[in-house]
Amino acid sequence: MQYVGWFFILVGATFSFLAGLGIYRMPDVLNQSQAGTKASTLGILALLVGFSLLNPQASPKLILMALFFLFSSPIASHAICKAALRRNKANFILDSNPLLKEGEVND
Amino acid sequence: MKDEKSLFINIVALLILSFMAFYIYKVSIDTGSGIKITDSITPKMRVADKYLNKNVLNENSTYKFSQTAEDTSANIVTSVVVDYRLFDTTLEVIVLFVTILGFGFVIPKDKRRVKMPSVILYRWAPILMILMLMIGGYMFINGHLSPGGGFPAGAIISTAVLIGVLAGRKTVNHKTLKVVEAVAGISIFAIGIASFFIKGVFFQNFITGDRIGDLFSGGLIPVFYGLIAFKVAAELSNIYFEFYEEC
Amino acid sequence: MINLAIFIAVVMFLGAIWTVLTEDVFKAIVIFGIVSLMSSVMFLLMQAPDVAITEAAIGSGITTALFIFTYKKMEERKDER
Repeated sequence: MQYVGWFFILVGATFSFLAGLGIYRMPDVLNQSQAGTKASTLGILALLVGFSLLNPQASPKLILMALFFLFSSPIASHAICKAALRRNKANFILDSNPLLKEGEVND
Repeated sequence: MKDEKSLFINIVALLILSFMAFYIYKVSIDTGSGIKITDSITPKMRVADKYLNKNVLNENSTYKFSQTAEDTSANIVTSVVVDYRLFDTTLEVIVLFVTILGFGFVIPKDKRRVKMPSVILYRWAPILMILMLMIGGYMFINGHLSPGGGFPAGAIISTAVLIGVLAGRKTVNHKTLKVVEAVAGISIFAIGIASFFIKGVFFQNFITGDRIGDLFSGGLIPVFYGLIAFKVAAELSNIYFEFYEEC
Repeated sequence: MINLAIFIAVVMFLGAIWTVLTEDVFKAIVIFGIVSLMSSVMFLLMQAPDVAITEAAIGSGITTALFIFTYKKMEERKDER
């Protein structure tokens, strides 16, 4: 049982680190919020599952914490993206295809 | 004319200061604190004896099931903050009240309509508010058993109201919050004065004989923490309402 | 445990310096929140869970919210001119 708990903690730490790396490398606010929300949600859930396996006495509180985080994280990223759109901080390009040559039109 | 007036004021100030210095010296000799001339002078009255009237070895002692004055609740920080030194805590509550009063002077009176945020936030906010109220309520109800207490519980409950305000839902009436805050503040002092008439000491816990570690233990400690939590939550929610309507 | 304390202290120190020296006000508000979070963890390392909970609730909820309201009012004044 202990090894499964440690494995979950390792997975959670890796995905949290990858979330931070993704936010650093992405060019735009919308891309950054995608990377941050998806990867860090998985990271924190895996960490909490790992903690509850290592310490079964405190597992109801940890599961409640995981539920609370799952409820509140997507709404936070939605609010951030909407605020970024309102301030025109998102320079996303709607219709461009990187495989086209110069002068061709996307139909 | 100016020189005579300033000379007169200086002489009066010197006289007052000398009187104060003499009085402070006399009081320090009487109470035996601070300035120690010799060790043979026994103090007539000590400030600590008037403030702290806790005797554990007496038959009429308040603390039947505890060894010291810091064992009335399972959480030692709670028993110091709410039972041992409740006077300091009430003064801190007064300081918070004066701060919020200052906020009320700074914020102007013109209010505008705020724009409605998105539908997702409007529909999802009550679920988050329920979770936060649950966490805050748990924290001040179990203030005497686990870490936490009334002050962070009030902050968390006010954060629940903040999420409601940011999502466009105004759940609590403005006037209700002011009434709650005033009633909670008056109740704290009323219970303190009542304990003065019952036990003879201001802010003394007059419900005794409980077992340490129960939910209903510690006498008046959960009651005080609940009142403090409501007061702090109402004050901070008032700030959020006024700030959000103004900016 | 002392290595964690040293790491947190270094992060707090650098964060505090960065808050004062940066030019964007919004960045300063966010880094202020990070410094508050680090101090909350430091309180937990000193075995004071009550103070840690209070610092986390107030530093992230109340102080940051009030700063953001003030910043929004600053931006509106700048837009009106």
